[in-house]
Amino acid sequence: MISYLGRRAAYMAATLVAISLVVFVIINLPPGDFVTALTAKYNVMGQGLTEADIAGLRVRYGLDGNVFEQYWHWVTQIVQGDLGTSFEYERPVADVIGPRLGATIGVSFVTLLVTWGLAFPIGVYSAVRQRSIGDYAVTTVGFLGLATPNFLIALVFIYFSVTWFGSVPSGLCSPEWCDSAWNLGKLLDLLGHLWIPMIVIGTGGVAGLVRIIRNNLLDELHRPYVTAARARGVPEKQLLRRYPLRVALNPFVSTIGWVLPMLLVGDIVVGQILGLPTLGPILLGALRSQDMYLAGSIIMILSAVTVIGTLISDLLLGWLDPRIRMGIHQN
Amino acid sequence: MTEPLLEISGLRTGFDTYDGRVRAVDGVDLTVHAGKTLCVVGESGCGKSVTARSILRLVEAPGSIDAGTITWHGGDAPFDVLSLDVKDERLARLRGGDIGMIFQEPMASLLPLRTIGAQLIETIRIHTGLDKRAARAKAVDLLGQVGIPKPHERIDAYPFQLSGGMCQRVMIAIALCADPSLLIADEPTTALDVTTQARILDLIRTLQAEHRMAVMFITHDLGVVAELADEVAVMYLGRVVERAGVDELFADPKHPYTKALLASVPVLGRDRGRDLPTIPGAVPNPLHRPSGCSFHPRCAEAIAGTCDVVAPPEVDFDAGTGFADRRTVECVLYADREGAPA
Ligand SMILES: Nc1ncnc2c1ncn2[C@@H]1O[C@H](COP(=O)(O)OP(=O)(O)OP(=O)(O)O)[C@@H](O)[C@H]1O
Ligand SMILES: [Mg+2]
Repeated sequence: MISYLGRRAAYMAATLVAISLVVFVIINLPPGDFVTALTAKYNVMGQGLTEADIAGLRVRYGLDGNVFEQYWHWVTQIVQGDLGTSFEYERPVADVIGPRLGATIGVSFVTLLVTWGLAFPIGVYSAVRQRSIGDYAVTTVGFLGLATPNFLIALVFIYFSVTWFGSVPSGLCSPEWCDSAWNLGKLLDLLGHLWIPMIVIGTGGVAGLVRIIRNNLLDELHRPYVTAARARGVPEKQLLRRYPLRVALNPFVSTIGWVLPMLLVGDIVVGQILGLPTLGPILLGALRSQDMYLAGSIIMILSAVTVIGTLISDLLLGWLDPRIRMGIHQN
Repeated sequence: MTEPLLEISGLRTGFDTYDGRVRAVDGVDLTVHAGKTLCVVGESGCGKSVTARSILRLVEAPGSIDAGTITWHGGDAPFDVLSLDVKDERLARLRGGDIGMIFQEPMASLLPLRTIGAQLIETIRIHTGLDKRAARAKAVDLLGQVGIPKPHERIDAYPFQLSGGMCQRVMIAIALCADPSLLIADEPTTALDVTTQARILDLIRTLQAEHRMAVMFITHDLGVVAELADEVAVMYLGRVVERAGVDELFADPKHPYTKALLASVPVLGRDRGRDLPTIPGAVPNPLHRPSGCSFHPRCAEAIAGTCDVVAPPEVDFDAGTGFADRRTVECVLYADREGAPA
């Protein structure tokens, strides 16, 4: 297990370095650099920067020096928590992202829990009762859920809430609570808003996961080891839990790697439509306005989270499956 | 003659397929006697495994048992396994308790994610109610009994760390954990190499003597039959076509199918450099069962106008002797011998 852990951690470090290189290239892609762009912007607005200001900024962002020095400067700053400055917002990137990160993680995490909480039992039921009426219902609804894009569901939601209630559900809080400190009222208000994105983002997720779980389990339910365990008297419930479910869990756990970054971006289109304060819409804006420190930081964070998610699912897989832990490759 | 332990009578098991219902087992009668070995032989697809699975009610959708009785005489009072509710505790006790079962693919019959010890101890605890420590001690002991070296270390091994032969030994240990009175072995050596096969057969024979259990051994290898069997049932297309004591069967096979099977086995010395006769044709698809006797298209002694029209009678050579149904054959060639001692 230790060597397995070590191997995974080494991969993770290497991947992160590779990603940081790519992101650095992306940041430096637009012509000129951050300070020249900023100088140009201020000149347009008629409030030129002094030579001293410019020199200070160039040192602050490590812009004078060869490419390697620039990269090193940037990386060390990131490691120290300084993500640079947003050109668009004229504030440190961390300040722009920070508050939204909380909201994004909150919304997504709750959605994820609900999604898994619903999908797991439904998937198991539908596999164990294959070809029952319940299974057909689940499969049919699942297809509809998968085939309907989330943004369409969001639009339908908005349509009905306008025609029925005369208002559009937007954001995660009502105006009167948004800036207040946390208290019970704000929490209730949040819950009142949260269910909408949860349903909108959740439906597709539940449908997809139910399919994954159902198919995995169906693959396992008729294996020889299941028959053999039944033949030696293992009671049905225990049998399901200890044998096929354990194997069917593997592909499920593997999804954690890509679910985590999705949690952070949220659904960009849905976020835009429902006015959710998630990272997705910001990334979109940053890319459009060539706000490269902001865009680069978000991409860096997402990549890091993907790598961490993969590490977590690898560790869980290693814990669940001795073959993976011992580095034994099947087939 | 010893008492019957398990009596299968008129068993019919079928599978729903897109082309119709496949009658995989089509009226099988079998008796396993206490402490004896019954070998079930027949070509691939003749319904041996389905018969064995029906005994423990292991047939899964799209299959189901349509008719018959399976009477278990091993308990206080005999009961019909097929009429039990799936939740009946007598069924739970049969599975792995009174009846142990081993399969053709030992490696696939164990869950790769759990150690062999975990799976063995689980079964021991289900059937004996021992606590963890005692169950583990018993598990080590059982692994030793089935010839696994260093059982106290191997108990923590995963199935994929063991060879096929070792996995089959583990399966045998699991089957033995509650001292069963019947071991059902469904081609337990088919997937193993020849030396390992011989060792597993030896092991089964030794354990059978030690535990005084009956064995129902399914195989298509007549060499194995000669070595192990007390009684033999020959199956063809879902039916038992001949039944006999092992010596009688080899000395005096009655059914043309049995004769053909025996003729296709090489005999050391005799068959050197000679082409062995094979049974012409292949086992018909059970969906399109030939009319009359289902063996007639491949039968060298088939009588046109009879075998392809009427179902053959079951001729009992021991009728009226007190050993009824010990020696039977399902063939018109012996129809006039009904009731006559062999
Ligand atoms: N799941 C299934 N679906 C449909 N038909 C099946 C199924 N399982 C078995 N059968 C049918 O039952 C027949 C008997 O199968 P069975 O496994 O008992 O044969 P067998 O005698 O054990 O053969 P082998 O020597 O290959 O193990 C097969 O010919 C097949 O047509
Ligand atoms: Mg078989």
